[in-house]
Amino acid sequence: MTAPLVSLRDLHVSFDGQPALRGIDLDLARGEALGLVGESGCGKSVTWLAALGLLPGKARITGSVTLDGQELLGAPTSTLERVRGGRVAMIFQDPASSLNPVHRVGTQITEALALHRGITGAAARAEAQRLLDLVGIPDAARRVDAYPHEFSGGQNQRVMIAMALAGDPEMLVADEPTTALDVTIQAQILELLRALRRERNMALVLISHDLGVVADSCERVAVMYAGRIVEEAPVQRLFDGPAHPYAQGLLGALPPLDGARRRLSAIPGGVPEPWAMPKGCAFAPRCPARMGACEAEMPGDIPVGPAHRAACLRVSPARQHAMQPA
Amino acid sequence: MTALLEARGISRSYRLRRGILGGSVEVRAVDHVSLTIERGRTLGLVGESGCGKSTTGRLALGLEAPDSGEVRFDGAPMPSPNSAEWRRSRARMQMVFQDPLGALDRRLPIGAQVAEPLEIHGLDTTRVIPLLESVGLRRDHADRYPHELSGGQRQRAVLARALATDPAFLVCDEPISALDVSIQAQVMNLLTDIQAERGVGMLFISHDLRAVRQVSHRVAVMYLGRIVEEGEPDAVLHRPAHPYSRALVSAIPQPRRAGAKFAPRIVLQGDPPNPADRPSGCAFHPRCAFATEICRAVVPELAPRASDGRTVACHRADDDLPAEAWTKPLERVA
Repeated sequence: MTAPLVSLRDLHVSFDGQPALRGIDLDLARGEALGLVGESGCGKSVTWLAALGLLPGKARITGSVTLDGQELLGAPTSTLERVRGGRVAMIFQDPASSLNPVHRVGTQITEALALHRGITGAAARAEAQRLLDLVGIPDAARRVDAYPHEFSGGQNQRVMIAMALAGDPEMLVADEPTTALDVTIQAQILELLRALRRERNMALVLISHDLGVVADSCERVAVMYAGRIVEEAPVQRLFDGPAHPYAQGLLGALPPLDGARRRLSAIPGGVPEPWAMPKGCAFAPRCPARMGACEAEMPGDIPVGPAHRAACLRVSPARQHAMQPA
Repeated sequence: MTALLEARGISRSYRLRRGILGGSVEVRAVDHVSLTIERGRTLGLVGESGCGKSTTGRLALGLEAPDSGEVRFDGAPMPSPNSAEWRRSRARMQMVFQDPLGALDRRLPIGAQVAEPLEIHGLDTTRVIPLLESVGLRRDHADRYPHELSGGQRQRAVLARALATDPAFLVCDEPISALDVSIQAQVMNLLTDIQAERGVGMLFISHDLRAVRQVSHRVAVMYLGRIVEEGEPDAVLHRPAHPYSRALVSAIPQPRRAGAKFAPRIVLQGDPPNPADRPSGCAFHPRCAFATEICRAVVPELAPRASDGRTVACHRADDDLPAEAWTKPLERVA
């Protein structure tokens, strides 16, 4: 196996002494699409904000984040500035608040082009136009001079993607990119991300609370709960046979589109607060399969099958496909 | 027996000013919508933002009077807003909103907020604790403030308050979209239980087809102020008749199981049109792969189609429309 593009090792983040991430290990290969799912507050956004040095100063970060072998944690600002927007780009949930409302979108894209690729003047304008055309903005030649408020939500997200592509990144982190959009527009944006990834062999990290979106767009998926990865597997394997009770619960909570209507297997209770994190497995208080040992210590990763691991004492390596979603 | 709630041909327009100096334009938010909600049943209303589904909910509740058409509740016409009769009728119909924190008063404990509708309508205020327990909250939650509860617990508190006066009709406007997946399941289960116990009729407004299938007995699809298709949830989801419903169903992201055959994903071009600038004829025609001359000129009526009686508003409802037509690139709509 070739060396991963990005490697996170034992990444911990805490705010004012409250843990937000409690040991993340994750690799991303070149050109790979990885989905990161979990509920609000589980740390899926914090993971990548920490990796790119985008968290506020009060965050305490330990562990290691390497891009092509180069350590990013504690790296000088000049190094990080070359990486951010250059080798790694990020787009967010609400495109309207990520764009500057008082500047033309063309100007905002050319700024990124000047910073990361040293393209200026007429060449930059032509490139901005080409990027807008690439992401499917109709009449790009004219719209390059438009302001964000003249675009719809879906088009603003396309503009954000064009801006992210300006630095010709090897990796795009998309944080809930379609959550604020309508279903048919969501389909357009996911299709666009898929096409761009194929053409540019760009790695994608798709952060979403929507299992459907991740299943649709990713090859591998990591499920997060209370600041840890509780299960990681190829997408198909996770949907066919989730091993961790939390992943099983998430799938069981998704209303089916066909077959008999059943009562949804809602996970009882709520996510533990960071100041009241259980000593053992953070999911134990809500877990239907909990044992005494679960409350005593935090379970480590147990391999379930090829490229499939779960942090659960109930998982036995031999079991493979035995457990099916309810 | 009459239906619990019946809306016949209701329309509602708003005036919208264009720019600082520009004149105003009329936006028709709801256009000739008819719907029926039976006792103990749920009608799911789906559509994208701006299609008029929330306005339809407000009209059904009588929070606003329609410009034309009529809403009948329990066989009688809806009293006009803010009349004494209307105020009395509030006890029988309630609304649940998307954002529970916004719907609760942050400075009042939960118990006081649930007691409020009971006081207003002169009912027994000792029912607060049983009400909280009926939605899965604990007795001690009555003394807590909204910020001390989780998102799911807050939505339960909103539901307890809505159920306080024992209403016959509940409008739920995107009640789960602001919640996490596992909490969404809790709330959907709760809505189903409440309906089974109390026999309330519900209008469930959502953009999420999965959720709508889970809780509804019938589903109506809205596009730009009009209902374009109505039927049993499984019929509409598995064999959608209107081209817009087909696109909507196909846009649901889902795991692609190995070996299973999938119809190619329909990716609609362009954005939903601006309600202030409604296309002529069928409002969907600029994004539709099957549009013909008549679609550009004449608004199709919602009516049962000949082949299977599905209620659909499409000129081509009875034609065989091949899925492949969608894969052709469509004219882009700016």
